[in-house]
Amino acid sequence: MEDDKDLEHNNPPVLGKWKNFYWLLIIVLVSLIGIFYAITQYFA
Amino acid sequence: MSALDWTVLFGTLLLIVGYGVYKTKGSKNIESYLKGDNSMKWWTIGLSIMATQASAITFLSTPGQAYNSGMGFIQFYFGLPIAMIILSIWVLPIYYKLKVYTAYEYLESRFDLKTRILGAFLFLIQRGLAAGITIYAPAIILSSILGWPLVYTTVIIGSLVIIYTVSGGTKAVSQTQKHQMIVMMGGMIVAGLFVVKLLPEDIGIVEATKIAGHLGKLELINTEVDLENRYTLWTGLLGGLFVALSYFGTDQSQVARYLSGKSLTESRLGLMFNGLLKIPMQFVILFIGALVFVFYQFNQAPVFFNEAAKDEVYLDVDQKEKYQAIEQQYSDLFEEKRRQVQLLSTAEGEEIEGLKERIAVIHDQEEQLRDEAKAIIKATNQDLETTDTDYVFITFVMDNLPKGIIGLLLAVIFSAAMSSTASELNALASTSIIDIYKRNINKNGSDKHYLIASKLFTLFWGLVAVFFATFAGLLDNLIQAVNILGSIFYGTILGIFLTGFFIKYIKGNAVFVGAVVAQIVVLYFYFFSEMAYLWFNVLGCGLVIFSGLIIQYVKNSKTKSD
Repeated sequence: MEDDKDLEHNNPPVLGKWKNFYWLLIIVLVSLIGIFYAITQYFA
Repeated sequence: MSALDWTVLFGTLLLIVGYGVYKTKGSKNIESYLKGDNSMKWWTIGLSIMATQASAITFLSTPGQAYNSGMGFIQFYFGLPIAMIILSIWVLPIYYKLKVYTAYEYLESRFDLKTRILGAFLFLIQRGLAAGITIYAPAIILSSILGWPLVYTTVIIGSLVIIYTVSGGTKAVSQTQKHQMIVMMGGMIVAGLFVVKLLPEDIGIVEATKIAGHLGKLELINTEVDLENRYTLWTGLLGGLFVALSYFGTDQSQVARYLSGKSLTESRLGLMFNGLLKIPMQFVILFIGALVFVFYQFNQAPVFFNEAAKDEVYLDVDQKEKYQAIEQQYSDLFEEKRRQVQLLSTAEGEEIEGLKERIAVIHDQEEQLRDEAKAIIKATNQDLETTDTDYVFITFVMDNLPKGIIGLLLAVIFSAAMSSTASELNALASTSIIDIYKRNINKNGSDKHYLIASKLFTLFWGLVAVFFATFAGLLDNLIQAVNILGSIFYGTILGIFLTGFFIKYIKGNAVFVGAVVAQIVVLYFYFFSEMAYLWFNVLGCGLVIFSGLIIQYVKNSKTKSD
């Protein structure tokens, strides 16, 4: 179990060099939507 | 099916179940049985969350959806990563701080006992019925494909799940899901490689993608603002966010997965893992469906993908003749279409448009023939299903993949059915024991007593699910009925939780009355209006918050004036 300090501070999860996983997720989501949009437009 | 397929199928299933039972035997207390001793690492949590969501229908239906309507369904998942972030930041710390077993325990600490029981009760009704469908939906398709009676496939899936879920509890569910998820992902990638291998020699993955794209199967993003279109960028981002928040934040079958984490960080990473991989995974499954579509541009597809329906038509001599005539015309059209598609694979510039138009004309003719075939099927037997989307992928697998791989793909479908059912049974048992039995009926039992009761509740819900799945075929449009049932209750549950998390002003009595009012209004709309059922989620949630605010305001004003 995490101690109360961590629970209150809402620290983002850290994995390797990714200090803030939330931003990684947003960047991946935006990139995927961008790639999918490009594919759609290419065949339109 | 060959002996090798049977060996691969049952070998895979028994290995996963056997290993799960062996690794997790001997839960000594309820904490260990329902929360897995809080020992799960992030990758186990992440795989377990994904395996819970991926039911057999995901693997049967999704490729068929890409085959028929293209890959636009991917947009439905765009809200999911955002939901994972919101849950990680605001919701997980609350559950961890309160050290809850179930999501509904939170409702008592935030509001009161009656709101907790209401939340738990709504979940038990909805999920209890859905567990039957999670088994029934693949069982009916597998029984049709394998030619087995429905009861066999239902009992195989149900009894294997009951064995390890009763025996090892949450830990067994997560352990087996890790392996089931590996089988599911591995199996689908193998299937994808085989589709490419089965294409004509001069058609590689690049040409196949080009054909799928030119024939409208790679329309991934729709930016139109169209309320009637279910899959657009906006419904995906907003509606998908809404659905993911309620499913991952308040549904005990998912909440239990991340509450078994070793620490808050492990649970958060598990959710992030799901947020990162879900869209790529769905993309791969949909893309396999698009490749299967390309495969059937070069190989004759059946007029109707559910062979069992055709077999029934063939029993009637008159209908058989009509059906065969359609099959012949369909076959003639196919030869012409194949020539055009072959040209399209190497076409450049303006040539492409002309070929696309010619193929579209042939496609329309094919669809007309398919409609005529469906009319014959309906005329033969009113009860026969005339939607064959769920049969496209499994028919491709059974007819075209080599020995051994068929067994592996069937193991994928059985694993998917078992993994989501296991989470449901585990969650139903947790909620029954923690929120109902231990809190209201027997407060002073020993740890051993609650452990045995938890196992009995898991067994009970397993038997309910198998029983419901066995007799589910007697009801019409059952899957839709359960979806409607889910939508009727989901909005109210989410409304209660969102009020708890974000609107401190509203207290217990106000939210309870608000939830009851919301549920009555949603039921009214269900019985007396034409509203599309997906909107019940929004309506129920909005009404709980809105009426809760009004009731609290009136109550506060009254207290002040007194």
